[in-house]
Amino acid sequence: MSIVVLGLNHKSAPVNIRERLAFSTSDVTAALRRLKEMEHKAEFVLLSTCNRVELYYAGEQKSGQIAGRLVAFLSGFHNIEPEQFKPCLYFHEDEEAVRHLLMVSAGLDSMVVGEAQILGQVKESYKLACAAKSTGKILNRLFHSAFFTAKSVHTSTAVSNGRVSVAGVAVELALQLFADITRAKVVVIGAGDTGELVVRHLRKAGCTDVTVVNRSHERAADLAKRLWITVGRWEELSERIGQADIVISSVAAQEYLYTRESFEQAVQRRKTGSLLIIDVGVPRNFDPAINKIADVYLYSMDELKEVAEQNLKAREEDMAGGLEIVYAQAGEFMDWFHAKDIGPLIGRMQEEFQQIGRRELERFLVGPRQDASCRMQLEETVNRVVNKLLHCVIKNVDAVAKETGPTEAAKLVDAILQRAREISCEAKHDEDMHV
Amino acid sequence: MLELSASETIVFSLIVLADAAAAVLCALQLLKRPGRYGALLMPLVLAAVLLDAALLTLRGVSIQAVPLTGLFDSLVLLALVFGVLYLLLRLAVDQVWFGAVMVWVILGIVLMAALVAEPASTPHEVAGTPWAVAHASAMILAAASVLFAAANSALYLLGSYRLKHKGIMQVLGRMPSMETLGRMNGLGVRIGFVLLTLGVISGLGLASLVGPGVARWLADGKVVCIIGAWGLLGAALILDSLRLLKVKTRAYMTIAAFGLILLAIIGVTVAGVTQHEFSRALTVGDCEFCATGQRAPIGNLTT
Repeated sequence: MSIVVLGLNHKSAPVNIRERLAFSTSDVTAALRRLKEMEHKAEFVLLSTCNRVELYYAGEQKSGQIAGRLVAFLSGFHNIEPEQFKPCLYFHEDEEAVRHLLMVSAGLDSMVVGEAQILGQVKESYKLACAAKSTGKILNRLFHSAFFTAKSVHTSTAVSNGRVSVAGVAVELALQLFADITRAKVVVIGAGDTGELVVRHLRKAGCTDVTVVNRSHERAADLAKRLWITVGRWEELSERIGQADIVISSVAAQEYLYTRESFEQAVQRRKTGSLLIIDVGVPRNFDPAINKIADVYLYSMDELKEVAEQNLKAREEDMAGGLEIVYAQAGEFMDWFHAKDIGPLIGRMQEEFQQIGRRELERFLVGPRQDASCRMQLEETVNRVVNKLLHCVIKNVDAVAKETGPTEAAKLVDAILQRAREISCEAKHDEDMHV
Repeated sequence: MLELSASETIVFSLIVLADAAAAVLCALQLLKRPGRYGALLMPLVLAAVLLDAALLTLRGVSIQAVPLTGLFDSLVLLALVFGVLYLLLRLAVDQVWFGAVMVWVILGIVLMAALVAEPASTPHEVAGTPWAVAHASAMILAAASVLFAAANSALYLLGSYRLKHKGIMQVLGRMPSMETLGRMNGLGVRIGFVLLTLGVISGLGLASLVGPGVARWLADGKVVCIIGAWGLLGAALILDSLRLLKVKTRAYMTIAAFGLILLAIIGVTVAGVTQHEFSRALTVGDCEFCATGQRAPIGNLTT
């Protein structure tokens, strides 16, 4: 039994390869069905995001065989020559594959370390696989272990703390100042790209009262149309700032749009409440001295960028903590994975032992001893001896499992089983020779 | 603390230990990883609250009465009320700075209690009157409210300072939003003011009906401090309703009011410039509700 993952991601493959091998939601279901047809007893999950395509497999085939079949499948499904994408592929098996999924789910293998979106995508892929009935005991357990690991990594380490983009930090700042961001009045000055990005983030966070003001009314109207926000006139700017909670400015101007004096005039009617100004204009649109005014918090592009970089650094520094959790969970999963085979192995070992006992009894009960009246008692005695010896072996297997883990115990049982089979075969061979 | 009985000393030591451990955990949370030690905080504060209750029960049993006659008992009760407040708010506000300030305030109260620890004493007859019960309850709850408002003020000022000086990393996700802190401060101020008003009115009633008279009561050091705090909070509320007050100014006013309450509770009592006592540690004639205003020598306590 093996677990393997075959795939490519943003580190191993360029975007033109990734997009050619990507699966849409309907493609995923169709692909899983085809994979199931390929091998009925195996389990499959297909993860396809903009940054990665991965096929998870659990089944009886050896890793060498299955790798080739999965590559052929990808090639056939997308009608693309294997040579074109083969160098970009990675292949992991057993514990490596388990660790890989756990790392992916926890966002430790993502482009932005610690991002939480990937966990949702892994869950979605698993759901699709469940719906397509392509999962089983092993992948079910593995994916649940991955969800648990991701949660542990996110809660006990700092890998997902803090936003790592300027727009994200701006939204976080707004959330730190205002209890209910959905009620905040936002004024956007200028129709620049960075400003637009911040507005998109604020809209996503729930801001509804957003007005864009630009010297060119047409450009403002165009932005407003795209972002579903309202347009204000340039002449009303100071009045709007006086009523705003958040101001985002990205005007291309060589001089300050507001000096401290002109800004104080603009907000002189303002009585209470904080005002957050995100100045993403380069050069800056607001005089830094404005930050000294009570209840006004002015942040420039560089200051936000610095926070984003610090957050990213903090995330990367805490990756070791995340990996520790991943390794521990992967180890636990592998223990279960190996232990799940011990039960049936012991059953088979019991059968082999009894078989040996029966053979020896048959060898004994030949000639004049064939009609022995004590045959039943003999059979019972042999069975008792076999069971007692088996009990000794099982106790030892238990001790090994406790001391060195189920993997070693499974290996021991497997070795005993092999030996028992050999003895059984030798006995049969002797019997045949005798006949 | 050495004056407490053996059982009270053990329970009180456990309270100090639990609160100190919680305070250390809070500091670690702030310095290292938010969330890592969070799971231990709730049990520690809960244990301290239960021990506070146990200590008050022990003292109540020893004097066969409600044990809220001395400063020590009042502080233990204040720590208990603040602990309960922390546990309730923790469900809604799970931020490390917020929890840390609350826990440090609780530890501060407990350490102050350790300074003024004394054996439980039976209450004066006056302490059983409805005026005195209303007065004591209102004042203890008022102190808790103002303490809560002051903790939020401190957090607000700290957050505001950090955000102004671009120390975003120390603030983001570690304390409630500035607006929430402002609102909680306002709530604490309003409730504190109402309770202080009730406390002052019941105190006036108590002084005029069974005490030394309103004029002498108003001249007592402790009462002067409380009236000062009450005035500050009242002024803050009036200015706030007229939208003439910035949250930052209100935060400073709240902290000043809390300082006055602290002075009333600890400073004035320790300095001995008050006769505001409900216990029998003074002779009947010595208490403020009686005539002489002289403290009785130790060993000559009358019942």
